[in-house]
Amino acid sequence: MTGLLNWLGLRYRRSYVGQLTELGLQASWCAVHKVGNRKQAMEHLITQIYFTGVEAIPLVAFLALIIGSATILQAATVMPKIGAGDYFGNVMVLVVVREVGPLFTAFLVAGRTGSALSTYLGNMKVQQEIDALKTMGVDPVRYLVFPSFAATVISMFCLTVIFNLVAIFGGYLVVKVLSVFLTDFADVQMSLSLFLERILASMGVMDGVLGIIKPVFFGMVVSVIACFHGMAVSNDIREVPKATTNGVVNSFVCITLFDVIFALPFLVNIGLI
Amino acid sequence: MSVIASVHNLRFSYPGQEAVLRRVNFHVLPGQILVICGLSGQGKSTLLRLLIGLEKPDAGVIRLLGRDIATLNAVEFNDLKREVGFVFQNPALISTKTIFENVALPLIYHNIGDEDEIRYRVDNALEMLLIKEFQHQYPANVSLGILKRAAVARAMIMRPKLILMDEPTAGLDRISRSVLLALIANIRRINHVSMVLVTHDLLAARELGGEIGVLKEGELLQPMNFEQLKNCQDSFVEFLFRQLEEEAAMTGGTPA
Repeated sequence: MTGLLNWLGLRYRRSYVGQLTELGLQASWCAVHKVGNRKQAMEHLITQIYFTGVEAIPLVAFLALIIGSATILQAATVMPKIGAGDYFGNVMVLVVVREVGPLFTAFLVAGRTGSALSTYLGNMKVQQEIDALKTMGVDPVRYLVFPSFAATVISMFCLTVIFNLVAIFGGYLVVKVLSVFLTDFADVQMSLSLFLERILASMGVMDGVLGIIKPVFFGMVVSVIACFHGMAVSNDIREVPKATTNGVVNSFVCITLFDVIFALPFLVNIGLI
Repeated sequence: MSVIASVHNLRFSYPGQEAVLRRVNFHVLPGQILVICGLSGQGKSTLLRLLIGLEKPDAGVIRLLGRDIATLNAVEFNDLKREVGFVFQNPALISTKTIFENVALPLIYHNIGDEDEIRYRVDNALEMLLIKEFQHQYPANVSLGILKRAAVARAMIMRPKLILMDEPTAGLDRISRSVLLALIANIRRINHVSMVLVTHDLLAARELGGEIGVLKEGELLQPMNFEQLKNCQDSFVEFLFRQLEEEAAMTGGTPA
């Protein structure tokens, strides 16, 4: 029995998911078990947050503005015509806060930070820089993976919040401005207070809880997959672009998969499951 | 006298290939320099990677500073590595850090000394290797000779008892090579550190002194000094010396 369990455990550890889980657990362990220089770790963390979070804000805000405007426009012009004007807030929460916000932000972080991480670590591996760290007694997971992991999680959460806020408020403002100039948007006559009231009324506890868990989890997924593919490069430079591509594509697939899984509690809530 | 490093019946093969190291035995005493010579592809670099734990042997025992590395867990081995410096053939400096930051990295990571002490120790190391003026440069902006010296500075910054060097003179011009060899000899004399140095350059082995072990078909011939090696009757050693004579004749260098 023990032999079988060991065999299964070993098979799991050797599998792709098993190796990702192991790397994720190792990186998480670094947050709890402090070894090495804290000041240096903090410097690395801040640098990574700057790259992953701060530098991505304009892009995230721009995308959020476009998506928010389109969503509000569709909801505010079409829904009253079909007698669903009262569900306007529900649509905003459903589309932006629950789905598009975390999903788009995760895709953006995977494409931007994930690809950069895989390339950076892959090149370090080819240049034997990671081996050099090992020979100095420096744990590469603690020194390289953990700051990226923590920074991606923190940045992902903050960027999702920014995305949601810009999509809702920015989108509202854009549509308001458009309604002044274009007669087609004359139906959009909702005041900000009513707009907010409807959104807040549509938000449940589950939205709050998943609003935190989802971006944090997506951040973990993106960083672990990117670091894993970067570190898995052997000494062949030709493997670096492959690792980057695989890292980004696998991140997209995993994020979409987990997004569906995160939707299950809502289906249970309304009795569909 | 305690042994700094010892290797007993070491065997190693890469997956799906024949054994590159079949039965390697040697030991290194305090302050001793052991130069391992051999042709390309004979497993010289692999031997060093095994010593520092970057590869795992198929069989045999490696003891560093009296401890069998196979019995150590990751934390214990990382602690042991503070006592062992390593210089790669490709200098393998962290490309996003300056020369100073690269040399200071192990000190900072292992929390050794405050900022002043770190600066003092790094400055000393850079001065000893004559590269202090390059301390703020990034690896991409300096020559290979400087990078190799920076790699040596990084390997010695923790004041290790043993330094492992993989082809330290490879790719260098004659002057840079001679300077680096003189600096390595100086470090060994001042710090009384043991060294295992891998090279295909027999002349470098002679300049550094110490014992020379020749790696032949996966086995290490009994280490001996340069003169003893020159008189050795082994056909492979004779071949190495013939190569050296031919190379010297072509380049106008010093014959052995």
